[in-house]
Amino acid sequence: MAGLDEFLKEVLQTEDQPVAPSLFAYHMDGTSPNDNMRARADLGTCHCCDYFTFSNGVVALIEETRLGLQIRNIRKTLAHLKEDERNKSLLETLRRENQLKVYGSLLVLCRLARKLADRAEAVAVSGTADFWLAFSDHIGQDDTQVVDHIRDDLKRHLRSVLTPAVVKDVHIVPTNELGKMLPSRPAPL
Amino acid sequence: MGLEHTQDQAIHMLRVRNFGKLSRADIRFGNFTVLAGPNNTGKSFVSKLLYSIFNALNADLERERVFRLIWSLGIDAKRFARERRSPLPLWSIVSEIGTVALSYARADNPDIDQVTSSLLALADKWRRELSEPMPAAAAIEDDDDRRQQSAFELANLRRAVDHLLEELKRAGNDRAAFIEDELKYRLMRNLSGNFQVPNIRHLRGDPNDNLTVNVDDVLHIDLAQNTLSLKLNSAALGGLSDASNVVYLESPIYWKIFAALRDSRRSLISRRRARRTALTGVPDYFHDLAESLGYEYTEEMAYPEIHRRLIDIVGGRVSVSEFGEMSFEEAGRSYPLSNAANGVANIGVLAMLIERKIIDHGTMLFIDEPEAHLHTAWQAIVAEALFRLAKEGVTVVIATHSADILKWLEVHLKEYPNDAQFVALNRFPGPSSEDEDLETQLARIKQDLTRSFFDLYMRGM
Repeated sequence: MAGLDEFLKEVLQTEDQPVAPSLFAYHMDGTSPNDNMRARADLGTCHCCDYFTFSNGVVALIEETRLGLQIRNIRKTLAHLKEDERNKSLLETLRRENQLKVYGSLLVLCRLARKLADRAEAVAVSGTADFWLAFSDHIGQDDTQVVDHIRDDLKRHLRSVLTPAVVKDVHIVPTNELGKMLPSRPAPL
Repeated sequence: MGLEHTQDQAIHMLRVRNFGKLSRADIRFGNFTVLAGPNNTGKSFVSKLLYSIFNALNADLERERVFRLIWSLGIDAKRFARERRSPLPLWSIVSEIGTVALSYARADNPDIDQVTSSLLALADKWRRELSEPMPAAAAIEDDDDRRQQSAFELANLRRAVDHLLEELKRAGNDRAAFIEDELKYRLMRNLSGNFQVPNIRHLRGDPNDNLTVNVDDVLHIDLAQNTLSLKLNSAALGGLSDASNVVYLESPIYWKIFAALRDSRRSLISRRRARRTALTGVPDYFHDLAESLGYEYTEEMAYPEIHRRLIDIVGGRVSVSEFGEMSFEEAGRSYPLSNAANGVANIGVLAMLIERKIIDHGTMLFIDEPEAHLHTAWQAIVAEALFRLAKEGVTVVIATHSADILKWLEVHLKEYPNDAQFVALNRFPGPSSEDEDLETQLARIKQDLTRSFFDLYMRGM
């Protein structure tokens, strides 16, 4: 247990705001740049996965992103294309970036399991991982179907590489909804 | 809603070649079959084909064929007797034929062997009577032309009796072929009537190629230029032919103008002298269902909870008067269904079919666009009701392009993973990848359906 629970002292936060009062998760970056969980796990430049937690048999890998800004930036780089081509390329680029976030988060999970051997068993018992992409900027009032579209695209492309035994599900949710969806995990005594 | 497993899933496979725009499609068919995809991709086409096949397969083919033979003979004889002002012996034959047909139609479970043997005796008697010279109806038979015509029609009538005799003997000797003939007849009639095409050859995509349909290698249909041939392995039909009834439900608009459609059909049929399949643009499956509204039913519906849920949502119930007028009863008042909102009519008619036991244990229910005129919340309720029906003994087939219904299904399967066993998902335009799991298939279909929204959204950013 040593060396890990100290990183569970923080309530999961997005945009510097707690997601829910009782929702604790392992904060990869922590407050100290030199002695945080990412450094302790010797993850080097791999900056994927902002938080991770495990509960009810599932490891939750949580990545915070600004989806709206990401989309706008990609669209700018594709401004020379026709509308339908641009949307197709946008979705592909978005998918690639999000795929990398999932792969990176899985790498983090592997390194943590190996590096922090005392936790390896708990992680292994959990078996499968859920990937949560929490976006902090709403891309619009009626973005549900758009987010679902992006998620469906990411999910089915991931399926050709990662079976449900590795990544059980992919969720793309606004940060203010994350607290309702993740199982609460109390802080260690 | 607590969902319990009540039956084992059986997935069937329908293989279609050269059918409309579907050059090749393999359709999975189970308790809850989803045909999903954008407009104009062949979903409704396939659902109508399935209905046409299963409506035919689930008829009492032997009984229907015998009845049809007697009935058609009766009509021929009656017409001849009336038009030729024929003498009494012929009228007595007409009367006997009518009596036999009616008693046969009204019998609950006629013993087919007994019926066949008594019919054989009667037909033999009719044959003998028709062979004897008929007393002339003098005023008519004076005219040479009329006399020749009369002799010609009498010969036709004799041939019809001969045909009945042959068929009845065949029923005794080769029952399988007898049944197959009726299946073929019904299939042709169903396809023409449900697709409203004058000739079923129009259903072929490539006019130079055959249309073929194969169900579980048990039924094989081959439509060449004008010839439909089929192979049926009756012994292996199993669950494919034991539906209590087969129902196709489409747009609620039909139900809002129910009386007008029914009256125009009656008028057309009466003008055409009982020709049932008349091309009016309104498919036969609507009239099949409309006809069943006239049947008596008990108050003990099979799915009271689902019925309650549906009428609670719309705040009232659809009813049909003894004269066939449809109305919506809400908060103590009643008004014509034509004045109700389309969404209310959609859900209300579904509830009415449950209430009248038309949707019952063992029913095969086809619904084209169950989402028609419904907002998202009501779409989810209808999806839930249909899925529950499928789990509790109704075979449900939906053709849909609703991302909301598919989202409901996705969430439901996440909550109840075991329910995946009831689902047969088909993507249009296909093919669906058999390597993909159900979840990925659902994601792919949903993506097809939400792409235009995504594109519009991005355009507006």
